Amino acid sequence: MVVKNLCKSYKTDSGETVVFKGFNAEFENGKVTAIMGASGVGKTTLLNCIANLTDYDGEIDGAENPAYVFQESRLIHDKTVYANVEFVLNTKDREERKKIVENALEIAEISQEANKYPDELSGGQKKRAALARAFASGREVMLLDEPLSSLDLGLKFKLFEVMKKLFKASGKTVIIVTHDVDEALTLADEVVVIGSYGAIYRKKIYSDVFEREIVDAECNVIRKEVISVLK
Amino acid sequence: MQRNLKNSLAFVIGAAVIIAAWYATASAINDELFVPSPSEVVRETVAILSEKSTYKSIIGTFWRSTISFLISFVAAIAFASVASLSSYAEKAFYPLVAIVRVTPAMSIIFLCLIWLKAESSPVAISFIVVFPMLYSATLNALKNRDKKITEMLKVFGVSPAKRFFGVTLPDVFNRLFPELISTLAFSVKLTVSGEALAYTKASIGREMYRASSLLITGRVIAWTILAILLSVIIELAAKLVYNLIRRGIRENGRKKSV
Repeated sequence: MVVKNLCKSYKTDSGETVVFKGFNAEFENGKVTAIMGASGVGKTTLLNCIANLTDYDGEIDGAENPAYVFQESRLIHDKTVYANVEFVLNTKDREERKKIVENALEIAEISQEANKYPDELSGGQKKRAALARAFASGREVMLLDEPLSSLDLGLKFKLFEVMKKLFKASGKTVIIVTHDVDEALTLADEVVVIGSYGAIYRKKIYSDVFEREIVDAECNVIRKEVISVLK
Repeated sequence: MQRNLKNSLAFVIGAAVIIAAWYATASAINDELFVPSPSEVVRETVAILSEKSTYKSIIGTFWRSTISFLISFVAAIAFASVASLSSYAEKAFYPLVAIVRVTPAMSIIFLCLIWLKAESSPVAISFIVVFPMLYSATLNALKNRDKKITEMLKVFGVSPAKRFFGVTLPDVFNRLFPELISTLAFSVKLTVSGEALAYTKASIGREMYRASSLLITGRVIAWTILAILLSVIIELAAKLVYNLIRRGIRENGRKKSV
């Protein structure tokens, strides 16, 4: 997936705020990229441009109709978890829809809650339902905007395992925006720190996500480098 | 449990105070023509309920007020949907809606009586007054719908029609329901007023007018009580049906998800 010469600004009361001015970046297909950066640098705006939720100038190739996991779960409150996942599918075949939904719920470990409504779910369960929906949609690109931001550490660790399984099973291009360097080191194949013009730091992580320890040498180096760049 | 008991007791005490005040006023004035006593009103109510024509009148008023409300509701959904999608449409509808909203109800009633037949005037009156109220409430509900959900559905490529019928309409209806109930009760009041002035056959309004022209004040109050009861029954029935449907839809949703 390629972002070429992305330009984006917002009109404010005091004038115009430039977010991107000729931003360029490449994201490897089939890999998980964690995007980090200072507050207000435009991480969420980048995802919104990729998802075509906002106007922009420039080109974005290889990201038609991505799946999106927002910060809030954005589940439809009067539909069950099953119906929430099913609602976004385009397939008309009922049996095929059932198979896709059940598979997604199983991978996201939310099958037991399939017939529950969002008001009956915990925060972690809602996140898993949102992940299942994104996975079921079958899109080539999956965008996640700080998906674990409002969760406690214990819940995060549980969801890390679910997300690793999900990303591996989908084999899709995944872009996660996060403030948490450990989250990036746990889930990603590559860590990217962005500025207004593009990536200001980029590092691949060669160890497998399922075998990786975030306190091993490779991760420690990347952690130090990311912190120093962000400072 | 105790709170329910306290609430019921408060209601009973409130009602008892009103009835006691009524008795006291009727005794003090001592003129059945001016202020009939509660027992006189009860006698008239029993007499009315023993007449077959009473039930025709009640059904007639029920039918007219429900029809006018349903027409208002469907029209409000249609117009508000268009207005929510187009600011030009919203601005185009605004003068008509604003004028009707501020026009005194009596002006509308008298104009309808001049222009329309006795049978259709009450329906038209109720529609003309209720439609702007429902239109504004529906437009507000549409504008204040959860934009984050709409955004999510757009990203996932859900078609506008599927979004509208699958998510927006049910959500708007649920949020609009309290307003619908109060407007339904108002529709009954307007219909009765229109019936009284148009002297519509088989109607509570006509019976009320007849009683007042014969100076049977007790009977006027008795018919008023029946109109109130009709309003309350319609409101309770609507709430019951709504709750049953919601529960049914929720349970059905669960069964489909197993």
